[in-house]
Amino acid sequence: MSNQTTNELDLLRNLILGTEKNKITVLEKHFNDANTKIEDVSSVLPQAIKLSIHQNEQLADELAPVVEKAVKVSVKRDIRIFADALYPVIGPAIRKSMSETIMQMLQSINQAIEHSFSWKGIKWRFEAWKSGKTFAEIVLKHSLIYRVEQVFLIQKKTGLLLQHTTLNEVVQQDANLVSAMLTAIQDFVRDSFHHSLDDDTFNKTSNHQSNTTEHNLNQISMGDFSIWIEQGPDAVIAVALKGTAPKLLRQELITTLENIHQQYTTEIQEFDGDETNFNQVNEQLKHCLLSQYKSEEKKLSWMTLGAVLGVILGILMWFFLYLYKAQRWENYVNIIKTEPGIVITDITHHNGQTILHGLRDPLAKKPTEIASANKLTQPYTLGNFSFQPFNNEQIIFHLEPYQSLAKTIFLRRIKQQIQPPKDVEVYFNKNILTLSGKAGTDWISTLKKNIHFISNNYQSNLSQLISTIDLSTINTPKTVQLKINKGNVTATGVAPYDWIIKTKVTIQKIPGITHYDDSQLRIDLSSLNAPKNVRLNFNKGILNVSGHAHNNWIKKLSARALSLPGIEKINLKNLVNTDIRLLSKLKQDFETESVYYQRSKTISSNSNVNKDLQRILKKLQLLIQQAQLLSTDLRIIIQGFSDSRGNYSTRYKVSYLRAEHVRQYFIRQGINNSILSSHAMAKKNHATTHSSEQENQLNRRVSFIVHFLPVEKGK
Amino acid sequence: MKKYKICLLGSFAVGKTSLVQRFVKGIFSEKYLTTLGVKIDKKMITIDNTEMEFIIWDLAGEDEFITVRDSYLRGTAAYLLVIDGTRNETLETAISLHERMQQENQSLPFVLLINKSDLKEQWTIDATKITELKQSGWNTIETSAKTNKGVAEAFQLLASNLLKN
Repeated sequence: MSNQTTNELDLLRNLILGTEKNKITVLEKHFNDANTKIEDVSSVLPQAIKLSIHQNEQLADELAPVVEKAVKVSVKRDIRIFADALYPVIGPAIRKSMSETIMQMLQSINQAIEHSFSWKGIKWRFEAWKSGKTFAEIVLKHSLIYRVEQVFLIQKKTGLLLQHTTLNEVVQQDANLVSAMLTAIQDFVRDSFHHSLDDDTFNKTSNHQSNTTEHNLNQISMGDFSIWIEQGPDAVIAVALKGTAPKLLRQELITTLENIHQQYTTEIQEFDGDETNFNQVNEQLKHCLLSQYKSEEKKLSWMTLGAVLGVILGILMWFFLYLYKAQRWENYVNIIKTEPGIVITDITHHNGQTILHGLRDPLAKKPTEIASANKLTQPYTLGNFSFQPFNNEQIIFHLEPYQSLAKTIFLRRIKQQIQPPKDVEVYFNKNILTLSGKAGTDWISTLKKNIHFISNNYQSNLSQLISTIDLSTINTPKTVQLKINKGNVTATGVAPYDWIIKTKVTIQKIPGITHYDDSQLRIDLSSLNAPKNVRLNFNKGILNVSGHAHNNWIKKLSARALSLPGIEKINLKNLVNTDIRLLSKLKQDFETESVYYQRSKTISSNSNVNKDLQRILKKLQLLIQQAQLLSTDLRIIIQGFSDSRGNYSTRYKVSYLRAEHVRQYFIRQGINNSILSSHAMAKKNHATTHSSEQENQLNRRVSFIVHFLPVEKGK
Repeated sequence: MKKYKICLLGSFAVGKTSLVQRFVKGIFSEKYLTTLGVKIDKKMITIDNTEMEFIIWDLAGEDEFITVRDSYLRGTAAYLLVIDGTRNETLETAISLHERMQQENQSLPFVLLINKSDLKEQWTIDATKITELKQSGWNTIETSAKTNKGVAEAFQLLASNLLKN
């Protein structure tokens, strides 16, 4: 092409595109100028950043490494700049962090306390003790709906752990091993059961990231523990949780996994084993540490309800007691006010004490006695409870003494003054002081003299008083009856001698008595203890005793009777001593006895004689016993007799031997030798040879004579 | 610190679990308990001041009835092939498993462990084959979980290869 042609073309280009060319030149210059570009970008950058942040978070993600690097460089260069910048922020941040930590701690404490002091808490403590688990574990078991304890982000291809987060309190195994094992388990399940994955535990899920259907293990359960797994194209998120989690949790896992994939697709795919590239993912994983606890309905526990009811009951009881006490107090004051002789003028309170001011007649009842009489001082009971009554120490009486004219008090006073006999009544009859009944003449006359002074202007009526002889001064024994008939007094019955003598004198001095007759009054001889068969009669100083009595009583009688006043002599002529009479009878009975011997027989071989002797011995013993009772000495004369055969010498000898035989027998039987004497009576036997055999038999005998010796002096 | 998924592969009863127990916990038991599925352990290894965390997948041994699951092998960073020196056939299983791994990723580091060196007099392993494997670039180490011979070295070597990879 020639130069001319070139110029023409340039000319034509200038003609057609001249304006645009210039514009392009300007634009080119503007575009290539760095300063101009900076200005252009700076003008739109804020708006562009604002728009980008609103649209998505990619810009923030992209800027994050740059900002981090810039911060690091800045801190390295001069730490003070950052310190100054953070200063206003760091304090509130720490405070907020601590506040949240303390709040969490308080919530835990509240939960623990709430469960500790409730019935449920006690039950759970028992369960913890029984199962060997901690109380916290049991509380968690019962109060937890679900809690995600660990979150694993695992690279799908290698099974290596990309990131892991866990609750602080959870005891964890090595997350890398868990991650690998989870992957192995998934592979194992997928390979082994991919033909029939339709049961409850191994659910068939569709991959949300790809359109291809893939069988994956998405849940492993063991008791209340389970692992939920959510598959992504390159990574798997697995959470270990306790309890029953809602389906929303799976949605949360899917969202988290999607976000992670969106942000870290390349990093996950090219994961070379360095997990530090995924540190920022940890914050997203922490959002999956979700939990939900049973919300306790704030129902009143039985213990609380019981405590509230107890308090209400206590208040009601206190209120009731307060009213009850107040009522009792009012009643008490009313009773005191109406009590004769007591006038209450004022009631004051001081230092918890109640002071009653007023007047009190000394003859009026004491206030404390009134309280006692009305049971105000006794503890009062309400069901099983006992309450203290008025404390008398808290009530003080300032009552000045005065003389009351109240009729009750006046009667007390006048009775105190006149000391009326028991048969006299003192009372008011239509405002008239009236005395009625029987009284001694002296007392009535004294009263009449003084009634004007003591009636205290009351009218008095003594007309109903009957004058009587007052024998009270002579102290009449119960065994004496006194009959009064117009001044004549007759005494009957039994009285001690002294009283009889004394009364004879004193009764004459009693006013009203004109004659005294004690002729029918007998002396009291009861002290002599006379037996039934004895009659005692006292007359003119002589005690006549008749009847029957034992020797012992008779012996004591004289001394006793003569010691009684008035008895000068004792007449015992008509008294029979029954012991002496018995002695006499025994003597008579003994003396009628005889021992009969047969002829030509030896004395000792006579069997009849022995029988006689045994009988006679018993009588002798009774006789001696009775004599001893009467302190009487006696002698037994044993007289031996013989028949008329033979000469005197022979008869004498036989008589003696027979008497002696009896005496020796008595001695052998224990009779005192000194009272026994044997005598041969042959001389005095005048039986002849002509005596018949019957008469001879009667003479072959031993008979007895009893002599009572005179009583020696002093016996 | 980086984490790595390490797989132990081999025939049944070659001593994979014993090697892991010895390496991770320092213990050995004569008792044989077959591994069902997989056991997972963790061990820290430091190579040239670089800390590494091995997540060791001890996979159940492969035989004519049980095949190692592909899903377990996915994402493996390196692996140990374990054979029993007293059982020659375990080498074939190891080679087979290696080929499966290579199909997935040819650049994965691995080490062949000839275990039970404490029973070396009973070894029946084809020494020629081992030599061939070594010449073709295989890293091999004789180990004994019982005497602890070569155990740590094997893991160290694998870690080293990982860092180089």
